[in-house]
Amino acid sequence: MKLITKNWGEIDPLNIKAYQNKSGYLALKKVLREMSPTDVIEEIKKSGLQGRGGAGCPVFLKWEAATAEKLQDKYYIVNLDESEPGTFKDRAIVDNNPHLIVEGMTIGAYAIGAKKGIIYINGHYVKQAEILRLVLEQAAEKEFIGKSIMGSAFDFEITVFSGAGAYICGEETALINSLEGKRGEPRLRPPYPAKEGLFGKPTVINNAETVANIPFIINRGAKCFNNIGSQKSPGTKLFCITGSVKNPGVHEAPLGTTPQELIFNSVYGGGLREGKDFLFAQIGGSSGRLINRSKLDYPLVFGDQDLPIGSGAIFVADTLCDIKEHLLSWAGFFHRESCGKCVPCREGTYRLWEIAKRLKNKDLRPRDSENIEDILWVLERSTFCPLGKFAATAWRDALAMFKDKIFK
Amino acid sequence: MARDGETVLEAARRAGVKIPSLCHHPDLMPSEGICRLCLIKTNNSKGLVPSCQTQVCPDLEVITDDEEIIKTRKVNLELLWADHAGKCAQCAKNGNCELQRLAQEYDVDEFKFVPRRNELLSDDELDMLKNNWIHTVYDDANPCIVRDSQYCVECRRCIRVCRDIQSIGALEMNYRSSMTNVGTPYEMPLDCIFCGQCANLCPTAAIVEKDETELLLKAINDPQIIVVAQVDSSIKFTFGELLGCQVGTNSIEKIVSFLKTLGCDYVFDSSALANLAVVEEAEEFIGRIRKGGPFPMLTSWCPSWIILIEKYYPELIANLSSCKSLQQMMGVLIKSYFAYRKKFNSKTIFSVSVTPCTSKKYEVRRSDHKSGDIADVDLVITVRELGRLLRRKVIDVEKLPQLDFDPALGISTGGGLLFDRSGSLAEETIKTVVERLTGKKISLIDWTDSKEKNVKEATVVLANQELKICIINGIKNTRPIIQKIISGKSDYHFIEVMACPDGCVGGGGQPLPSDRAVRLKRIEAIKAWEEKSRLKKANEDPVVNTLYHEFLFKPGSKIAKKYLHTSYVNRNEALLKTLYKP
Amino acid sequence: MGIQKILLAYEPVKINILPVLKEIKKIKEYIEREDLIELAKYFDLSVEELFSLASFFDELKTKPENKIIIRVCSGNACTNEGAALVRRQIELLLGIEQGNDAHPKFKLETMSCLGLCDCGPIVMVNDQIFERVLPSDVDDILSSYIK
Repeated sequence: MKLITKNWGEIDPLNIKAYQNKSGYLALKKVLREMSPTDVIEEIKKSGLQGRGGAGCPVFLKWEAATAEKLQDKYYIVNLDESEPGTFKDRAIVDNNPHLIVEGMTIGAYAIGAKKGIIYINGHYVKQAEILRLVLEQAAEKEFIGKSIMGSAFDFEITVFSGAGAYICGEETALINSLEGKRGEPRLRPPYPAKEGLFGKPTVINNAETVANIPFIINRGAKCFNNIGSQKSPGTKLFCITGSVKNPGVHEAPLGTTPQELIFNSVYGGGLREGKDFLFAQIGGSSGRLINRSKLDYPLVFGDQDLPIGSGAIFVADTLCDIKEHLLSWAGFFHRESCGKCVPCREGTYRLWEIAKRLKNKDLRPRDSENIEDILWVLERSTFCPLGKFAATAWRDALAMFKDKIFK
Repeated sequence: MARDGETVLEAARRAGVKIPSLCHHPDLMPSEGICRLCLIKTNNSKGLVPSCQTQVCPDLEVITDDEEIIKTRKVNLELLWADHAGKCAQCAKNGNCELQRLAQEYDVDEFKFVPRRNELLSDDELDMLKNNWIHTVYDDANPCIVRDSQYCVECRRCIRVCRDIQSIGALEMNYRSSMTNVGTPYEMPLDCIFCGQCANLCPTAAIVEKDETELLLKAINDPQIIVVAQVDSSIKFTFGELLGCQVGTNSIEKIVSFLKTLGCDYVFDSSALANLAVVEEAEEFIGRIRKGGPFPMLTSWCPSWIILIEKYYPELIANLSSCKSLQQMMGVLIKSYFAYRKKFNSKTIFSVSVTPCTSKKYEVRRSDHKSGDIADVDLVITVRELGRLLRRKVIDVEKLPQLDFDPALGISTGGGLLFDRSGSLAEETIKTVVERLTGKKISLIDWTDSKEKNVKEATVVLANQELKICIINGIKNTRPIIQKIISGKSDYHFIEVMACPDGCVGGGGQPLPSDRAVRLKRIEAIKAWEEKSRLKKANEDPVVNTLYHEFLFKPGSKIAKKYLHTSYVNRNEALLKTLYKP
Repeated sequence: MGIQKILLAYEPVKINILPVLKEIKKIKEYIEREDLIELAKYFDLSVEELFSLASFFDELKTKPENKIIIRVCSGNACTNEGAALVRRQIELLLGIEQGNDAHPKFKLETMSCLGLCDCGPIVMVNDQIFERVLPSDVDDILSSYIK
């Protein structure tokens, strides 16, 4: 079932007419001609669409919260910061069908009453930022964005804002801070962005993949969307499968699909490469949980406490992998990307990285293994923002699964 | 019990329940919740939450200490201690450090995350251990404040007090990850007004007042040198805090004894000269009244205020009073009049001033504060540096003889006023001016709150005009008034400014803690002492009479101008070349 | 100095601060203090606030770098494809490690995922990206910089 990747490779992404020929901008037309903002929110609510950035929060909740604010100035932001290692689905959307994002976010802005939109794109995605700017020009020319869109009373301007290299800016409040010309440090919540966000105005931030689902929901109806996927999580998900599989890349599959299917089914990952045996998979990027064979049949949905789907990245490791190298990779990444505001994350990720380096060099000191436990302890429960928890997740699972391999 | 709108942290501390924190400070609200030491559990939330962010509400149940909470605090402290391990003995804050206190309370193993000596595999690793911070900055380029970032715990108190309370913003958070550090742009030397509020709030030794006690001891130990000390007013009521006395204890005798026992030859009370300073100030002000300006006249006793004008508002230099500060007046008279009276060679006199103020270390180095080669004042020692001398010298102050000040400049112990209750300079000057111009004696000036925050104003009546005066504490509060003066919309004639919050009782060198509650107690003690003491008026003051009669001739005379008055420098362009501030 | 031209294209609103800093990176190796002084006047901020912002982000440089920076991606996918061996090869060839300044010309630093996980191992030399790098490619890549 292809909702987002439909037509990928078939249409020229920079040809707006090609997009229109495949029912592009019809959803926007329907919304502006036949639906009120409340209708749109109701439709999204009925569809059960959840945020695809990782949190999986029902989209309509943020939209309702922002709509409840009576201020005139509101912002609709698309989060294309995508810095989670192993994740490149949003980049793929821009490479293959960027107009989806433009149409989706315009509908979202209409629903909440925002006049200004921003696509916050990863600073490394230089080519993709150019594509988006071109696509926005095309859309403006056809009056799909800008003033009096399609002759309606709705105005909506979109700008592209490129990040400057910080994973933490994928976090909503840190993203807002960087837009305001401040350090990308997370803020205290409450207040939540839907109430007080960019420059104090009500702001909705949705992940690019979330937004790319909106035209389908409007065109085919909430019920149709709801029937796809699983009851807990309707719709599809773009899974970025990497590692020792035969077919790495972006694969769209209904939510509720299991890692078994995604990794081994020839439609998706195609199984492990010649001569390689499955050891573990990491679900959701470097901040995700590890699974071994016992969890391969676990359906991947949002809101699951035991196996969070995260960004939907699936990394597959084989039995010949060096787990210590991966531990170093995880520790190094979170140390590097820690914003440095709170004690446990700033100091903890640094000391964990030091230990990871010693571990890799077979140079562990007597108290290192006890210290690992204590660092994970504080990262899991006392950090200012969830990045601390993310830093501890993979290490915890690796220690539980591969203690012998690590400390031999 | 708990007050509306309070956080659990505030309520707990008021009730005597200990919840640790490094980033919280009662003068900097609301808290930022970044040190993560104040985490607690409540019945309203999952997991650990910061008590400095949790509002009290009915039916809120709170657990402040259990195994999980204590272990979390301990490990977080141990993570911080990894950068401080083994450094206490050499540290300026040894024995007076918030991080040390927490280490004791939570039984911290400072070497937990740092290899121990017997775990090191080579001598190279020992070097790594000593400098286990990748990124350290040591800045002692200015005369007042020393920054050493290896001790920084990134609590951000200094940034907030400088930006939010003093509106200067000289420090900011730089870099990211474990390199995150409080600092200046491009690691330039600190170039601010040196009020020292950052040093007052720093929980460790990352920002401290400059320690010049060695210079004092060197002078004292030199048999050829005559050490003449002057003690600034408010210290009479704050020195005792260094000895563990209650805030506001009158410690005049203790400080004189201490300085004499250290080896100072003479110890004067700065405020013995207060009346003289008022006379000179009044004389200048009267001159302006007669000439019709420039108004408002801005007092010039606070070195940080002067630096602010010179660096940021040079167009107001003409408004500054030309009077030197009390400290400098006393200094120059020690080197001239006192030397002459005692037949000392001025070159053998070492004039040291004990102050609550860090920026006075900058003031004494001003090029216009010397006669030829001879500086008015040779050294400024803050009260906190005296505290360090107390610990090093192991003098039992309790057993010292009760001593009083020496007669100032050899004349008399004065009966001067205290100028650390802010507003007293303005008051006394205005009273003197009114009396001279109208013959009327005013006993009390009726201060009212002005429209601007934290500004007190008053009006007095002369024969054919009214004089509007105001007093301002804290640099932030001066900004709206300054804007008015620059745009010509100010109707004040005389403005007294003290840069530190609540005046000199909150100076950058006062004993710690020096938060609002403590400052108010100090002010109360000063007021109570003033009311009890019989303070002499200028015309009955032997110091004033003798000095004018024997040396200065008359107020505003050429010789008074030479010794007691000064001029200022436009430092704005130099500043704009390195830093720009709107 | 050139940054005046950049300022002409951007209004002095807060949302333009980061974009302007990125533009400066395109025309100069690093952002100098004089640039921040100009920006402070333009955006009505202090140099302290601007430096605090600039020093936070990877892409913005505030000091000159006279060495060539080599980075090897250490993300999951690149590690799986052998990035560690590529890094080891570079370390052996140049006699350096991440974090030390031993080589006169090159410096080895870390990098975060660029989203090119399907083309790994990724190696960056200054701003140039090399894909699908094998240990045997290292010599060629580095020698093109040594001349």
